[in-house]
Amino acid sequence: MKVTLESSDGQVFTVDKEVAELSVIIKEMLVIEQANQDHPIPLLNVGAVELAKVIEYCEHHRNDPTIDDDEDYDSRKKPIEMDDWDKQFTIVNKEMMFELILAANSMQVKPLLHLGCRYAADIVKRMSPTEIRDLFQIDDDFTPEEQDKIEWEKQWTKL
Amino acid sequence: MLEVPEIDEEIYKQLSHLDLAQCARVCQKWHRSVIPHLWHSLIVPTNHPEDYLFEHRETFRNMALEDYLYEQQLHLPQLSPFMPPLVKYGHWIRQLPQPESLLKYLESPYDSIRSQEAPTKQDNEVTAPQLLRHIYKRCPNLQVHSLDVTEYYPFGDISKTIA
Repeated sequence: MKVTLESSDGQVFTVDKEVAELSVIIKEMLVIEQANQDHPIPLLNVGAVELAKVIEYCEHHRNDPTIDDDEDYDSRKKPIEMDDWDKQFTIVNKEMMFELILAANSMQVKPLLHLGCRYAADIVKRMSPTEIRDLFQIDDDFTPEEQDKIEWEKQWTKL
Repeated sequence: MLEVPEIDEEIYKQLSHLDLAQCARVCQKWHRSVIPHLWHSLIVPTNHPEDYLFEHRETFRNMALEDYLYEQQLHLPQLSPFMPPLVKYGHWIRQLPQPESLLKYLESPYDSIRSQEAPTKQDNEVTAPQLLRHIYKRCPNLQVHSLDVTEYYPFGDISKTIA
């Protein structure tokens, strides 16, 4: 069975139902609107570029065992497994990946969301605050007084 | 980082304590968003040797002591002018090592940041159980795993807290 999805900018994608159902949101919508399959499902927060990429991910992972329990994702206990395909998939610029994370979040494609978060975490790992500011183009908006305080509080952060 | 709390939380979970500490120093927005995660647990990280916190016991005791003295309004001149961290961040702490370990870390005055000065009277008089009680008082949101805490825990019947 096929399902049609419509991106925020009006592009329509036709995918297998089981692929679309990797999105918790779509899965729930399909249950509710079972009788009414004539219209594409609108995804108001997801642009066509991101949606294409999300679908590409879902196509590849269509046969993965589903993990319903969020606890299983607790990466403090269990690192997320990435296969070679996932590694290839994440070779995009960070703006694209952040858009994808937001898309995965709004569509609730959990494995993609977790993959994206891991990517985001890897970006800032072992970076100094200055390096992070440069990368994300963030201004240092601490007052000199706050700077002193933060410098002083630094001693506790190793605990 | 992405200004969506549930996403940020997911990202922070994958960062080490040190990485989080760096993120907290990027800007005010990041600071606000990272601090709760940074202070979430003062527990031996799994990738560190057992005695990790023991190595930092001096820092740990100083943190508790400064906070204790701050509350008693015994602000020592050689202490920092800033508000001690437990006052501000204690309510974020969810996990701490077991009380018996904590008592060990808090036990006697080590060569503290005040070591150049003669140990003050107040410093020596504060006992480990006093400090532990104080820490627990500052951490009302602790997830209590052990019944052994009861003796020092200020929030009444521990079994209720767990239930």
